[in-house]
Parts: sequence; C-alpha cells; structure tokens
Amino acid sequence: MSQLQIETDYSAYYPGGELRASVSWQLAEIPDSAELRLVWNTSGKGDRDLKVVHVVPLPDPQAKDERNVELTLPWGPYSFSGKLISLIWALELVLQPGNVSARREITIGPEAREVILINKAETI
Amino acid sequence: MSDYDSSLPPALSANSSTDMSKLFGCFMFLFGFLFSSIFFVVGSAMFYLMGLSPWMSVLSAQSWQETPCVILAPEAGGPKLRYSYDINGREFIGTEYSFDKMNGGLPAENDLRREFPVGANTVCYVDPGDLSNAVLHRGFVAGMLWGLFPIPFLLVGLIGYIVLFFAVRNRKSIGSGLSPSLANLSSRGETGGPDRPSMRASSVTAVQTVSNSDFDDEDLIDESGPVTLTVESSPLGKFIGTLIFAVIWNSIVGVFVFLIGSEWMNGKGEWFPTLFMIPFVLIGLGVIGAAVYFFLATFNPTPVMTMSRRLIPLAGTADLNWEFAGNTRSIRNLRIVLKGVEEARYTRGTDTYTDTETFYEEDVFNATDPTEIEVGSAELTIPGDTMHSFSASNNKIKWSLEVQGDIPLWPDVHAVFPIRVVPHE
Repeated sequence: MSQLQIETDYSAYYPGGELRASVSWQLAEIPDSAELRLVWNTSGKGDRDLKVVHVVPLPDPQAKDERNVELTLPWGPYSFSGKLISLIWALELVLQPGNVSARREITIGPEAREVILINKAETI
Repeated sequence: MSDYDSSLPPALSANSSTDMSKLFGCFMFLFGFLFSSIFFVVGSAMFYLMGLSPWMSVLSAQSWQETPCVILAPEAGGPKLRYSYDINGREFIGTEYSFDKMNGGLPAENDLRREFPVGANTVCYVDPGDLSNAVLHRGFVAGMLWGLFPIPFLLVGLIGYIVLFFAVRNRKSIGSGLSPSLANLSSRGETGGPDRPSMRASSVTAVQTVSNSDFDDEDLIDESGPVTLTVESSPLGKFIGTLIFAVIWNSIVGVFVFLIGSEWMNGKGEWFPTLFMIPFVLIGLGVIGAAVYFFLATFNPTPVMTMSRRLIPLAGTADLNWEFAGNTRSIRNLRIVLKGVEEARYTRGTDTYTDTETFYEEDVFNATDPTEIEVGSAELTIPGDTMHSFSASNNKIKWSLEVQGDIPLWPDVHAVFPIRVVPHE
C-alpha cells in the first residue's frame, strides 16, 4: 500500500514568503519519477481552472524516501473566496508510474489570510 | 512541521481530466466540426453557383461578340425561350436569356412573348470560346441578387471554425493545468530555463524549476508615465457585431417567412408554421432594433481616459484624467464608477453560461455640471482589503472604470475601461 505525506512549516503564508516542506513516501516499488508541484485551482460556480506554478523534480526516488524542499512563494494570486469563485493554493506530490499523488492545501494572502470578497454596499 | 496528515487527498494536477470528459470533448469537437463544415461547404457551393459564377460570367461576357439572331417558337415541353443564330454558315440554337442560374432571369410569360415575339429579329451575345454558348442579355439582372443569399450560411460555417479553433487552443493551454512543455520537462527532469535562486530543495542536488505564476517580480514591474486606457468594446464594434448577427438571423428566418408567405399568397397557408415562426421573427426585429440603437450610439461623444500608472496595487492610488471627443452638451449626468466583479464561466450540458457578481462598486465621479463633464480629473483609490485582478480561462476577477453618461431621448454613453489591480506593494 502506498503512503504519501506532505508536511509544511505553516498552513498560511504571506505572498512572496518562504515555504519549507517535507515530503515522504513509501511504495511497493521504486518510482520512475517524483516531483513536488506548487499549484492553485479554483472552485465554485465556474468550471475549474488549475495552474501548476512551480515544479520541483525530486531525482533518484527510492521506494521509501523523504525530501525537504524550500521555495519562495509568488506574490499572487491571493487565496480568496467570493460568491462565485474560490482560489485555493496547494502542494502536490506526484509519483510515476500511475499518478500516485497527494495534495496539501495552503493559504497565501495578505496577513497570511484568505481574502473574503463581500460587497459592503449589499451588507449595509 | 506542524501540519502532518497521512491521509491526504490526491493531486488535482495529476487527475484533472477524466476519460469520459475527454471523450465528451472529442464528441463535441467532431459535432461542431461537422456542423460548421456542412454550413461552410454548402454555403460555399451555393455562393459559387448562385453568386460568383453568374457575376463572373457577366464580366467576361462584355467581350463576347454581338450576333444577329431570330426568336423561334418554343417546343412542347422544352425551354420557354429559343433563338437561332448563324456563325460562319453554321446555325446554332440558344435557350439562355441571361446568366441568372436561379430562373434564367426570364421575364414573366406575357412580357417574354411581348418582348421576344416568335420570328422577331434581335441580337444575342456569343462566347467566342464556345460558339454554342450564348445569351440574349449579358448584363446584371435582379435575380442575381439571390447570389447573396448563401453568405449567411457561409458565415455560420466560418464562425463555427473560429469558435472551434479557439476552443481547442484554450483546452490545450489549460489541459490538465500542466502545459505540454512543462509536463515533458518535469517528467524528464531536465533543465528548461534559468535556475531561479528563489526555488531550492534541500537534500536534492541540481534543482530544476519552472516559474509560471504571472505574479513574479518581472510581471509586476510598472511602466513609467501615464497610460491611455483602452475601452472594452466600442459602440462601432457593438453595432457591427449586432448587424452581422441581425443579417445572419434574419436571412435564415427570412427564407422561411418567404416560403410561408408564398403559401398564403397561393391560398394554401397553414396556421401552425405561421404561428411557430412568430417568436423567431420577433427576435429578428429585436436584433434589428438593437443594431439601430448601437448605430445611433456611434454618434455619442467618446470618453478618453488616462491614468497615471498602468498597474495599481491594492490600497494604492492613481490619478485619473478624462476628456471627451465630441460634443458633451447632450450629457445631463456623468458617472464614473470603479467596479470589481467576479466572473465565472461554466458549462451545463452543451451550453456555456457566464455569471457575474459585483463585489465592489464606488463612484469616482458624479456630476451634472457641463464644464466638469467635458474635461476632468479624480484620484482613484483601490481598497486594501479586497482581491487584485485575476484571469484564468473560466474564472476571473475584473476591475474596471465604467463611464455612464445620461442623454435624454438618445442611447446613453456607456464605456467600460478595464484596469489591472495587482497585489499590495
């Protein structure tokens, strides 16, 4: 049975901040390739958009392995939630063959918080 | 390391497109291609036969030789018009009146006999390359206007191809969220670009990275100096777009109206198809009304907006200046509104919908004084606790300046100028 894990130093980050992650996996066989992806995706009423922003290849993967990764986050887009759209950031560990994968969601935003879109004119 | 979970969900980037959705996409593409091809091929063939071919024949026949000919009596069951002409002692029989392929451009029966009584001497025009090819009238006849009829069909096919092209390009670019070049690069573990110092992996040697956020340092560098904002869609563009749609719609509906009308003229009219056509005719009239409205709007004064910077950060400010090209005296009230809008596009079955939701709206300027309306300036402030501009294939955060000028008894001035709001400085 496969076991994949992604650990991060925090769950929420400032835009442009440093992220440290530790990824580990245990598989029955040695994978051909392994990589950690920094992605964002949308959810909500619209069809899903997804973008892979960074890819960190993890060379010479073993059946049981652990790697530490540091990366500088981009300045945007912020994590946000509105009436129609939410934008979610995540780290995704993908091993081949078979697309064996795991995903950990994080928040990137000002004050390390998600932006909530509220029409103040409507709430008054 | 505070966050630890051994039961994480699978990666979206690894499984974002199912086989069924790919199959559905292929089916829709094939259906669209077939639909567009039918309209394009049939429209092209009809346009050639009914339009281009007769028109080109008219041009080419201007050099044909004028030849005396005699009108003959029509044969039973044969063409209504027959004439003979003699070239170098050899007799030829002609039956064509003009190059109109629809009905030969022949006058009505009575007019035909009056204009060309049997035995009358007249002239015909003979093709020097094919002496058996002749016409009595080598000019343009009203029936040749039917050559314009296939153009809407041709346009439907062409628009279908364009829509398919952009749909395929769009699908390729978003695909699984991983561009082909990026996918190849990451699977091979090869270096595809400069090694950014901002991306490091400890315990890993020779890190190769690709940065593609659209929000890296280089993406957020602003150009110095003021910029003139570009309007989202001009009144002329709206007029042309609506006019094209009105021509296509009404041409297709017009054919059925003509057929139904002919039935009524012959006393064979039926109520069901007549009533069935009414909503289609009303839509056609509505579109014509809209085209007229946008045409009148093209005479409105046009706002020209300049801003002191191209990119405005959240919580940032910019100087806004405007002036109008054209006379602004007819504008009773001018409002300039800063708007932030969520826009989500989604598909349900075979239809695509777009929903919008305004999350921010504030008057930047609102006045009725003509001197303030004609030329003016204002300071634009973007709130800090909101979202910057964001654009993906299906989901967007759009910021814009909307100019609304009220004109009594005339289409109002309405122009939208997109602006780009970036993350905090």
